[in-house]
Amino acid sequence: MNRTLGALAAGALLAGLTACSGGNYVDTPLPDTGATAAPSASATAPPSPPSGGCDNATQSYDPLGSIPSTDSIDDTAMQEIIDRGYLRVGVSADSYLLGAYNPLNAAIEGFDIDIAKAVAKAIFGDENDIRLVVITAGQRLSSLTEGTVDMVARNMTMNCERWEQIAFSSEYYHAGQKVLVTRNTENDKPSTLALRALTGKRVCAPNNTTSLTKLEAVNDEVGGIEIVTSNNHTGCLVLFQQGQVDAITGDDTVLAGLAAQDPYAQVTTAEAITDEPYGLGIAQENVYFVRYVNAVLEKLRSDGEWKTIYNRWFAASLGKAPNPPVPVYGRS
Amino acid sequence: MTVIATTPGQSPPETVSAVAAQRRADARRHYLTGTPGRMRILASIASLLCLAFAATGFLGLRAVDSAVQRASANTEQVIRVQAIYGNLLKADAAVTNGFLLGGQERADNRAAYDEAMSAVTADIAEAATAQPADGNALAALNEAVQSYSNNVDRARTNNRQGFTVGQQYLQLAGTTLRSTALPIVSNLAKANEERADDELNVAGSGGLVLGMGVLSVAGLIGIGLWAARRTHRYVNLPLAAAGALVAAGLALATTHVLDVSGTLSRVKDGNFKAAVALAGARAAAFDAKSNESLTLIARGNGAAYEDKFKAAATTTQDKLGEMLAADSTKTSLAPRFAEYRTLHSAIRTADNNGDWATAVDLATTTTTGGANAAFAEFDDASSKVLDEQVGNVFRSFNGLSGRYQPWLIGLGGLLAALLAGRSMSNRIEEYR
Repeated sequence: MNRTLGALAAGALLAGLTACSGGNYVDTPLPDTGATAAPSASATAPPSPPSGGCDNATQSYDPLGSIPSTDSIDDTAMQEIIDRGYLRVGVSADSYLLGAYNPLNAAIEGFDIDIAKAVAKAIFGDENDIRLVVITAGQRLSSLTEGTVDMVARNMTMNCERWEQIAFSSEYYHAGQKVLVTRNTENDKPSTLALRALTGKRVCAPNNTTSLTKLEAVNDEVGGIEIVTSNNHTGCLVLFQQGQVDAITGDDTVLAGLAAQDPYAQVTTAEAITDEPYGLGIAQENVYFVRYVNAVLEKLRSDGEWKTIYNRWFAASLGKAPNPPVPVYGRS
Repeated sequence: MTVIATTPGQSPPETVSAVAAQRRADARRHYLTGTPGRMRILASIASLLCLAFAATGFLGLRAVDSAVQRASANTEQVIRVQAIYGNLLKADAAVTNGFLLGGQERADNRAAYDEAMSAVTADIAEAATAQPADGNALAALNEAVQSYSNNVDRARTNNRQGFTVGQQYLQLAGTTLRSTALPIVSNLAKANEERADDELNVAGSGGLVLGMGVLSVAGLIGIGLWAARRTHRYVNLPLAAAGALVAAGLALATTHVLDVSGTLSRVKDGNFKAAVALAGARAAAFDAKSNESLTLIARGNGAAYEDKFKAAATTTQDKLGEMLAADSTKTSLAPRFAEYRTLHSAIRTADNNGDWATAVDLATTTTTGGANAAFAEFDDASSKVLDEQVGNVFRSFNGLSGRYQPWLIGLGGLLAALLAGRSMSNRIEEYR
């Protein structure tokens, strides 16, 4: 009797204490990752800017007859620049070959920067009398309308919608949408692939760009292109280097900058599928300054400096400089 | 014819056997009846109570000690995981600051990154061994850390060549770190804090021991009083000795459980809480430092990083406040961080005024009075305080190991059970 009671009590006690003793834990849960941050299938991008009541977006104001001496300028807006002692220019610091920070010499440099420096040199006699203000693509118009810069040199396409808010110089570069693919390492011949031929391939374009809109339009025609998006073109290059996309599409200038950073990438020789005329942005009311800048650009075209600048930045990726774009004047 | 002679008055064998059986049956019937029977039952109950206390005391206090050991192990895992969190952000702060200098990244930046990442790798390996339940999460963390490290290497390589894609890889590394690796570490910290909390609550096992002790003592006293009334003897010495042994065991168990509970409560609300808060403050400070550099790296596009800096710096200050609430003596850390924040403001002022180069100089200089030097002082000082607090936590745990108490109570209870079982023998003899 005693033994039975004792055994029962000990059993119950042990069971109870064993339950208390713990030590067996549930696995630590992993976070709910949700949607992946990596490349996403493209959503609809905004449509191309509509024409806003102007016939020719590349048409700018007539250039001054010649570049006037600084002392002779009495335009209020330009006088303010001259009094300040330096030109404030809105630029990119991450568009390789156009406007990018070079950590080796701690300078922002590129095609756009050299064009801006030519304007500063014309005004002050020294290309270094310039302050480069790094702006985002979204700040290109507001920095001019708010007056935080005198000029924007940041691969900006001239279009009629923008003319409603700002003024443009004459066209200083004629870009077009092209394709970047992996270099053919077997025979090192330049690829001739066009965007239309990329059926079955993964092609990257940045969100909210006209390049993406055009890519979608081409895909609507030919079908079978897997569209991948990123926040910007350099993001597309990362995906390209990681093998997550086969090609990148964008302005040839931008693609040249990407190809220059990756020896296994090249811009194909296929014809550009869009026209992207670049102009220097200037505040709408500063018409005299626009005419002054157009005179400077005329000089760059005529004395061969434009080609020198082009070759310095783009020859390796896009070949020798073509003739500079023909300016269109007559805006009033 | 065989005649069996019988002695007059003698019963036949069958009759003798029947009588003996009858006597045994009577004895069995009366064994548990009447006063002797009740004495036997009560002596058995007293003995069982003592045995139950012995078993409960031994196993219960062993369970308390085991819980303390597990709480210590879980707490150690929490601190290890917090160190992983802090070191990942420390590595990121070092690499982003070095990135500002392009190919001229200083050796001390590189060394700080390597040291922090080595510590992360070692801590992940240790953590996997220490807590099998963390295995899957740590495997996922290891993969995320590897991805972060790969992207940092690509960022460095491209940055050394002056390629802007390096900046993109650095941003990708930072995104991987914050969206993939750190949430896993947060889950690990939370899971282990909950495990430690569960173990720090020893009321279950301790309460069972104390309850059984009180029940045993009360039972022995009741039996003793009954015996005193029945036998007209004030004290049943064996029973009194058993009661004294159980009472002593109860006192020992009470002292031990109260000591453990009190110490654990003080650790939980004191040094442990302070250490967790300070580890959080340090991690947020490193996050702020990373965002300071990222703001400058993304020049023109860095507004979002400055917002993140402000959020992280506020977290640091809040966590330092939490630490002070738990450990009011460490008052020097908040002013040190505030000093760094003032120097950060100077960096932002320069950058906002368009003087990016000066802002970078201010953010990367290591001279005394600069932001890096001020941050390093905060890092060093907070690291020492954290080491001290963690040391205090484990000293407290180590002082709680009650190796002898369970054995004393178990043996004492067994002896009491023997005494209680024999406590009524003399009185029962008097009824024969």
